[in-house]
Amino acid sequence: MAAPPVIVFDNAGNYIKAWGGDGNGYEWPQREHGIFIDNKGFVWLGGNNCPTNGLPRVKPVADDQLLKFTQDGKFVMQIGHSNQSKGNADTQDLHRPADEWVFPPTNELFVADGYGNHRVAVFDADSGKFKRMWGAFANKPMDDDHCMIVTPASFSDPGPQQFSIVHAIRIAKDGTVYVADREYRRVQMFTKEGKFLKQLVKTDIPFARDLALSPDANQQFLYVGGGNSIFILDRKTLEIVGNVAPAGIIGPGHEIATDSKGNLYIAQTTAGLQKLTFKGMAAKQTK
Amino acid sequence: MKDMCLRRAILCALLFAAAVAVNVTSDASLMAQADQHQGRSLPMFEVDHAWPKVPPQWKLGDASSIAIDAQDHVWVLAPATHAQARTGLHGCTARDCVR
Repeated sequence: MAAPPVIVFDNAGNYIKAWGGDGNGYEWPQREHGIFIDNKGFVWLGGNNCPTNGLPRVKPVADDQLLKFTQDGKFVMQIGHSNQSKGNADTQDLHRPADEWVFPPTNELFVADGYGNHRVAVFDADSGKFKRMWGAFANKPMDDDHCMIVTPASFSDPGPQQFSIVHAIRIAKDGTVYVADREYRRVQMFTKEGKFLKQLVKTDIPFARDLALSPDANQQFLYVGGGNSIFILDRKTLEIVGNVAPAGIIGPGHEIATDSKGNLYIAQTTAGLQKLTFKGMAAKQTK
Repeated sequence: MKDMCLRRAILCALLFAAAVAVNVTSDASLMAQADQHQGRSLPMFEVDHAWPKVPPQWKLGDASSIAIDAQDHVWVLAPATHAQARTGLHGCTARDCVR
């Protein structure tokens, strides 16, 4: 039997619970994408379906909404509505959002929006009220809507002035915002107000698949999926300082996450899930 | 014909050797990169093959996303429809071939 779309395990891998799907009072997404648990314990999730993909058993609508639930699956709030996006200028709807993150000091929800739009959109996490948005290099985001994923034939640094797929977002405790611009193979770094700070482009391999922050006090590392593994960046300088590639790693991840102990978790779509156990720090990496 | 097979085999061997060489080079450059930051401790990891334990009655969908809560519980978004839907879309089931 197919498991419900939201499944919870403990860090030892034991099953805890599962829920999700259509219900009253909200529009469950057609292709679930991007989950986040905020500091108050609420569960956020979105979807990236597009109306013309012709997928079987999927309604031909764009997932233009983000949902908020309790941990038991009780509906709390919805931002945006299914198939209602009017593009990047629309402050009421999202357009196939990929990922989201709540920054507790300002109680703001930052959305990587996404597959259809090309922006970071910020909302109040309680009211869902729109606050601000920005595109690549803090430019005004422009409409360029494709159902299929458009990957360029060649890559450049600094690359285009707009985002491709805004696929992952993480916010450090100091308020620095990290965005994975997946198809352009770059990570961009902003202030939480949306001022562009710097970027890292890695043109030689698929890069910026996903993001995670190390849980140490200063969050000194940013993990970035690329190639067949996960790169370790100094999150302040965006320099690559190492690589996470233990024997048997499942891949760079589609989305990744870190827990409070420093363990890394990889969601790799059809290839499944993997936990990489943190084994401490070493002055020189061994493989 | 035999000659052609032989040639093909040699070509394959050469390509394989080249691929290995490229791999070694990229590994070496990664290590060099790490060396430049010598003195800086980096996190080490090991695959936990026992994680997760999916209940036998359930078939996990395509794990698209993952999140951690305050108890370090791991929340997975794994739509059951994705596997079939994705296969239908591109006729392709390789790892992450349709994202």
